Amino acid sequence: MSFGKAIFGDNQFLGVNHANQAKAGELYERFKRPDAILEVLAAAYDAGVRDFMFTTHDRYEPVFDEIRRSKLFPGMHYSPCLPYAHKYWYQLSNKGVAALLASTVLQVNPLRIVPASIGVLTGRTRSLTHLLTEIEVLMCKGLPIRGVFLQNAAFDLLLAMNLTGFIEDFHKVVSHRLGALPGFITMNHPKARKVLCSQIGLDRPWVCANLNQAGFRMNPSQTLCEESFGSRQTRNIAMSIFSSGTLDPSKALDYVVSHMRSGAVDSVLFGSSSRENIQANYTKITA
Amino acid sequence: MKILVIGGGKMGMSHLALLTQYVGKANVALCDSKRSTRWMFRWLLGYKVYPTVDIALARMGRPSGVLIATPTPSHATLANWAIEHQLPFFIEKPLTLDVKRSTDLVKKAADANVPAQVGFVLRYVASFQRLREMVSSGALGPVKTYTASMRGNFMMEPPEPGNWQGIFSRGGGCLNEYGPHIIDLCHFIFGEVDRIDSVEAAKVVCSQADDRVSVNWTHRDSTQGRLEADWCDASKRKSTIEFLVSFAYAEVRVDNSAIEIKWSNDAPVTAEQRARFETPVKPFNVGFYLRGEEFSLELEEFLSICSGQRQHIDGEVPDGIAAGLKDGWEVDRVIDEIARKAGLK
Repeated sequence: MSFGKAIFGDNQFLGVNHANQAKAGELYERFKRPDAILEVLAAAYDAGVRDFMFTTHDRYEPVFDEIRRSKLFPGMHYSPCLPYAHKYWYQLSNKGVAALLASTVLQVNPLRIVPASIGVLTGRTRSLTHLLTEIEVLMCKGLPIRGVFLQNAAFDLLLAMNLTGFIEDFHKVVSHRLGALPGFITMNHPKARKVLCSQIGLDRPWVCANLNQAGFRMNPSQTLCEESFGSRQTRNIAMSIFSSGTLDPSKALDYVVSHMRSGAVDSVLFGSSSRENIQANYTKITA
Repeated sequence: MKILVIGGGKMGMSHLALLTQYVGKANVALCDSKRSTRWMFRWLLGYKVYPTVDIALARMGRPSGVLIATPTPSHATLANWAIEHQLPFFIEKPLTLDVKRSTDLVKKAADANVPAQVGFVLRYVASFQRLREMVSSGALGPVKTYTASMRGNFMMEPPEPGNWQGIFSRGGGCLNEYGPHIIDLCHFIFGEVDRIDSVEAAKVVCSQADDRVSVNWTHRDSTQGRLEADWCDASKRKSTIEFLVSFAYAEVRVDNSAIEIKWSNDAPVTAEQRARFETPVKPFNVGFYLRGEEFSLELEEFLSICSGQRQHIDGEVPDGIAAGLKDGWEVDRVIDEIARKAGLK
């Protein structure tokens, strides 16, 4: 099992645009309607895309309900990225870390909390990781899941705090219990590679990180990120390839495609809200 | 270099995590009075924790700096403690929300020669730095007027009774929450505010605090500006800042990431200058990215203060960006005057 060369992303559906807040606001409004999301997903499907990678935002609940009910997009695979950090971040101000954790795990069968809590008290966190992961992927129940990714807000936090045990737990839970490909989104590719491959010892894990001609959010530097992608110790998904529209799109795509040909990039994550752009990008990425 | 973080809330946790990457886990410790927070950070996250600052100082030895990320009411006490112990400190915004206490802190730190940084993080956003350069260089002509706005969906439903975020006198409300960010940015870009000309405040979801504030003010150099803050805007996914600036030779719109310039037909600005200002802004590279470059950059700056050596990984990061205690005092002073004019105090 592997991802296709072109993975459709969801920044446009959530109003994320790194280069223009005004455009971000327009997109956020436009995609409040589930139908608007379904129309763009249909365009991606028609273009040939078979992977949709998304954050676990409440906005997708009615979208997935409709996909299941009407059996839309046969052959499409879904890869949730969790957690949707904003919903937890806001609650953190009011509740604090401990209470937030408690209220989150209470969303599932309270009996499941017992082994998770005992695990935490005795220093074993896998039950807790399993529980939290399961809560987040509930919305995709009944859909074919290809991968489950840890968002950079969570993964880079674990990375920052040197919490390799949680990262290892997540990898095991996703691959063994959910039967999906575990993946990690990061803004610090070189550091992530070192921890995942050298410290934890994972065999070519899937890592999704920025790779773009402008060097946008490639930390600590564009050169070190290019070298890290090129090491091929990880399987790489390139994202932010257009640097949110700050570059000539054709040259931006050429840059990423050249890294794909050299083997540094396995898949490309891209988002768009226009049928024409989706088709053009898909064709170039998969050529 | 050892750093003590005081306060294990969301900002404290974010700073602690970032600092771990810069100085190593063995060299950061957390001080928090809450037992559950200490338990979480010690047993689950593996950090050294202490219940009080004095115990921390006794057990961990003298840190190179302390980072104060507790709720605002405790800021003055902890800052005074850091000054008394001659410890460089970083303190989250707002400084104290009490003009007299902030005035005392500024003086005490200056007298003791203790360096301090206030967490006005948006100063490190590249687009706002570009706007500051546009204003200070005078290349686009003098500023005629501007509007600065901060809008978000922070408070969409009435807060639970007793929740401090819905009570102005306890540091809640839109002016106290959004005000420090946007007021400091205006101060950073256009200089000190000389007088508040008019204020309007409205309650939408909170009964004991403001939800929307608009202010007209005049800066020391006579520039007139308008501030609009709204924390219950349903059209926003997250808080968004926007400046609309009318220069003599151009109309400029700037947000957290983009700059749009409309030149007037007769603008005496060279093609080279235009290209310099129109080039899309790119955030600076950082040693470790967690929530946005600006959070890493402000800590790199603080570590530079603590170590006496520049800690930025990107050679392009300008110097002199950090907010000091006087900047924190200035924001407290402006908020106080707005609150009085709005009838919130």
